[in-house]
Amino acid sequence: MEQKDDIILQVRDLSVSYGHIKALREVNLEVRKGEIVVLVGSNGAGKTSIMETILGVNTPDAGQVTFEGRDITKNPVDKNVRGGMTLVPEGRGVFATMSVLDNLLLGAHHELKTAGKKLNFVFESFPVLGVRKNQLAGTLSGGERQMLAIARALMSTPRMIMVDEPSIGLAPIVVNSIFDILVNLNKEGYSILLSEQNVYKALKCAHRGYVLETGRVIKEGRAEDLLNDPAIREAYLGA
Amino acid sequence: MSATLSNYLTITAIFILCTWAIYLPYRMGQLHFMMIANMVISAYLGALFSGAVVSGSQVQEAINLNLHWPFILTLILGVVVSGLLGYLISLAIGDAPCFAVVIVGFAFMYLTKAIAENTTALGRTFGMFRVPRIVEGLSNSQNRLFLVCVCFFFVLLVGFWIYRFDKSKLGRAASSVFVDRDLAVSLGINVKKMGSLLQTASSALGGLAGVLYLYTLRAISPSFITFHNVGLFMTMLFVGGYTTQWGPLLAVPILWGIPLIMPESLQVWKNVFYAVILIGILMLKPEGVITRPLLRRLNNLVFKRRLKPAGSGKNLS
Repeated sequence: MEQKDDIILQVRDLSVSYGHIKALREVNLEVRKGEIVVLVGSNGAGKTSIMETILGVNTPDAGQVTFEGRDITKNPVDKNVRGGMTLVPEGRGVFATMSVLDNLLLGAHHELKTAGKKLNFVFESFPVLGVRKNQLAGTLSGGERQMLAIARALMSTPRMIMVDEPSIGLAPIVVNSIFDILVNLNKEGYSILLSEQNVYKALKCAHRGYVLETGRVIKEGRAEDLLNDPAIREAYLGA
Repeated sequence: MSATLSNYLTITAIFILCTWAIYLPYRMGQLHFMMIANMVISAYLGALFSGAVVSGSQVQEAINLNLHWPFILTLILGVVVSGLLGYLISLAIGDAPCFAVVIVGFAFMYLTKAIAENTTALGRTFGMFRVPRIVEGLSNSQNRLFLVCVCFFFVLLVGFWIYRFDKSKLGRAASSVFVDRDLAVSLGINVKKMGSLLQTASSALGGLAGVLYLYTLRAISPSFITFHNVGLFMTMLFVGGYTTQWGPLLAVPILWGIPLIMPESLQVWKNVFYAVILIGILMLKPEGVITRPLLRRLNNLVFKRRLKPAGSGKNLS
């Protein structure tokens, strides 16, 4: 797979605590332009904490986050979203009692002037959302909700999308189509930081990966190499 | 226009404004009762600046500003001071959870009441009275009619503003905070700024209602700050429907009007009447009578909207 050297996101020695619990310990990672980078690890490994801290939801104890060369470590979430990054949260996070259209427009909260253009793009990319735009988001199927969450993220015109466990609770056939969407988005030029427990699927579609355990990066490398690593195969793929 | 009818209409209009003042912060899940304190503060300010008096025994210690400001100036003063107070408090509780906002609201209500009841210059428990008419030189009947028109003008004005707000990106963002605060934050919605905006608007609206109330009763006393009034406005909001601005328009005239036409012997039971209605609605229609799905159905029924076909560009799915 082709890789470019321009670093879009760099995380240096990032540590985060929730009270006395250390969630992240000196995590280092980077995402280059046009890459899909996957964070793999079991529950509680710190995948969501990394994404939330990069976005600005959590305040780190130590470390630095730079996005496109700018230090964003202490930026609030709204500033980071305006700056070009977005998060597709875990659990197909949509506003169930609001319409599909309202959900999408919320994604463009900071740039509503160009929302019409972006809506056209999103409806062209996900025709099912166009058909269901006046329906309540809570009435969509699991796969459609995940599509909506991804489409909403696109509405903010991001350059990097963080996707937190997109396959959780979805049928295998739907998981395949969600991963196809992510690969297609990457081909369109979006950099993607993906967290996933479905290690095989994630590493198959990613360029590089980081393996997390109890808040530390224990291994990193090209996705292909990680997929062939005997320790990872044994721990996560049961082989 | 009879005094009874004009009194019913003006108080209805004022209570619609009060209920909207509670509706606004509740758009993002905050029950903010500071508007009641602001209502009384702006009414006292209006009384002081318009040349109202206190009871005879306290006259010596009364503040005699001798200003005799006209209605419009006292109105602007009340709205600005209340909005400013609401803004300053919102800097601390803009993103606070509902329960904390309720506690702060109650604290301010009873703080305001305690100060008013113990300040001789404000007439202590008797309050201030003999507020000038809204327009001097008109007859009683003309004055009442003018006041009704002024009150409903503000209902229209505020109603239009809330309508525009609800349809705007800020209204949508407020709804998203109500539905799922954490998810809204992850989309970059600044909950504190949103809370600050809505609490300030609520307080300013309380100030507006306070000055109108002052000129309707031509008196103000600390007795307006009661738990009964909190319950009354909440009943009006929750019975009418808290998810749209139209709920209070339906509930206030009915809930305020029915006790007025009750036989006198039943008047003492009016709080029971409110409580029964509130409990009934919360059990049967928890979102109130007028809800968004109801409006959507009505909208579809009237306009028979058709969906546009989706675009035919590159399909990522």
